[in-house]
Amino acid sequence: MTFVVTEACIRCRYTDCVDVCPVDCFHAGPNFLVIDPDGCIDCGVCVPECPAEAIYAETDVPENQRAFIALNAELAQQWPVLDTREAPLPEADEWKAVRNKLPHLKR
Amino acid sequence: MRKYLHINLGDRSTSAQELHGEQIVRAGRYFIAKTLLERGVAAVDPLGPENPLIFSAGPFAGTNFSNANRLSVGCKSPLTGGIKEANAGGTFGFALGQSELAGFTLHGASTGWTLIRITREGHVTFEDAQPYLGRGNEECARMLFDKYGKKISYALCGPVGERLGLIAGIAFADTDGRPSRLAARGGVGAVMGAKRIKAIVVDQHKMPPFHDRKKVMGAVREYGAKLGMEQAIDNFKRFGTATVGDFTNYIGGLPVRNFRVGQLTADRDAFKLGGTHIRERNLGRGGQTAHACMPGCMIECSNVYVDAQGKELVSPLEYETLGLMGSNCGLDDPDDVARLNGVANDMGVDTIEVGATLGVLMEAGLGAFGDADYMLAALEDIRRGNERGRLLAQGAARVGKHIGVARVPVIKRQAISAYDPRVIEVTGISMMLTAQGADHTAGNLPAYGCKDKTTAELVAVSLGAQVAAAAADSLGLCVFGRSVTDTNPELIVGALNDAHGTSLDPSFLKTLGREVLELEWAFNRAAGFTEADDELPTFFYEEPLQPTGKIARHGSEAVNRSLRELLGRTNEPSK
Repeated sequence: MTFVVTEACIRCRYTDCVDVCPVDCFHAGPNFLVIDPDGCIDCGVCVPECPAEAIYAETDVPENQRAFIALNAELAQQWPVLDTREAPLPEADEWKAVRNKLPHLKR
Repeated sequence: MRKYLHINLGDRSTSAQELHGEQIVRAGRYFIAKTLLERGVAAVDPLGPENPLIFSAGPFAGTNFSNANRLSVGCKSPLTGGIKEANAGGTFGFALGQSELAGFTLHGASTGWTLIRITREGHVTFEDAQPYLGRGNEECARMLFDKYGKKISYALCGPVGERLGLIAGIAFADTDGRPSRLAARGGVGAVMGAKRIKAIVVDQHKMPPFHDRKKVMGAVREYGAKLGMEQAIDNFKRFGTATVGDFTNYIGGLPVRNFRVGQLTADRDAFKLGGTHIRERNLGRGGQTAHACMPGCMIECSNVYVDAQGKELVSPLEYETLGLMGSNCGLDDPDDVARLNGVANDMGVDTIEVGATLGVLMEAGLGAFGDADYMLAALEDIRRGNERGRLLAQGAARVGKHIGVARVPVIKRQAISAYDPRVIEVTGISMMLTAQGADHTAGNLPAYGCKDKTTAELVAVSLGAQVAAAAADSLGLCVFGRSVTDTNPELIVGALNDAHGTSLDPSFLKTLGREVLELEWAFNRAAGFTEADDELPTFFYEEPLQPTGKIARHGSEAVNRSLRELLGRTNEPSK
């Protein structure tokens, strides 16, 4: 199994999750983070850290977010590891509760 | 800061104590021994209300520090009459830590069967446990998740504990929610049952605050990276604890047919109860290896063992059960053991004690070695609590005495684990000396070469292992991480200092471990134990164990004399 970052992270990129990851499996793009499914050890400690509640266990990913399972795997191969917390995006709080943000994802 | 709760079951009042710094660090087995000794618990009736039941989480609880979320349960043992710390994995310690609780003590006894709910804010409520009574642990677990949601963990007193069976442990949720991680030994489930506490439900939340969380996470990563470099850890991940069976069978130290012989088969490829065979069979059927019992554990020694149709039989299937309920009872197929193990878990009982008890019945000719149906029927009697079942639930020593069997493999009335002391001598000595009774985890070194070593040399090795285990057990650390824990004291103690703002020296681990042993030995002295209670059963000294032909070489007098010399006590009792 793995944990998955879903759309709530897009245009927020809080990175609180990175602080508590024991295996540095978060990869970061311009406005989104993903979890490398091959690195994740399923500890789940990142889930409650996310202010946008974007992270789910793979088996708990909501139906309308399931495309993010493959997206995390794909983008983890392309983006660099982020192992240090960074400031969230300036628009993070404004975009936290916005839905259907996939078109805004920057690769 | 962490809170520690004192829950008074008589009047249902709760008080909270604030713990800081080193008070949080000195947890688990240390906290249990110190508390019970200071409170004079050595003199109480272990099934009476004066016996406190302590649940203590370690200083890293609530984090993803690999294998650092163990939970210690402590009390005076109704099985041994001595001190008891029973240790479990699972998510309960993790949840306590995430709720910023160091633990809690149950004082007194409830008048009616009760479920205790502790929220992450530390609020304690008492609910009627009637709907859960008499049900198996799996059903109770489902009921608890239905009622309280998924973000909880729980402790369960199973149906055998409800009836004060001394083989009863306390079951905790694993990472998938199964009631499969037991604080199994010494009858702690009977103590919970004597208090009429059926279940305790706690919240999972998020990583708790620390003095310097960034540095703690640095230590988490470093410890995890070091584990990844250890071959022993990789063996546990791939083969589970069953890998030990391949070794003990090979060297002739596996309990077979009530410790009559030390090897099930000389043909290593034909040995089915070991990790190699079990991994291949399990994976071939779609089962799972590399399964973590607690969040963040990178050792992942647990497994999910399935039958030929891919249906789960038990999780985990572990060495001690494969030994005591397997080869010790004459079984040679893991499917049989797994089926029995699943039943035992649902009843919430100690599989080591159960296996030894059933082996004693077979020794007496009341059942045949290798008869799995006989074993299932005996478990069913225990579950139902009929007259025979209530007798069997008292454990190997009492059953053996009742039916007049001489060859009963116990020390201090607790069943010996799957390491024959005639061959696996350091572990045998640890099981003799520990105040816990025959507890291999007190100082287990199955691979230590004992040939031509003197009693004094082996006692010294045992003492080192006991000190290290006692320290780990006081810090919520699983002993399976010892190849890293024991060789990196600066890392561990540095992490403790970063976690709780202490200024401990790396020597703290050995100091802590030694203090634990002294406290435990003092408790047992107060409870009336003498060096005579450290003795192995006579048959170990008299019966050569095939295929090695070895007999036990180290009696209590010699072992304790060596211990006294090591401890620098020439004229006092060693313990």
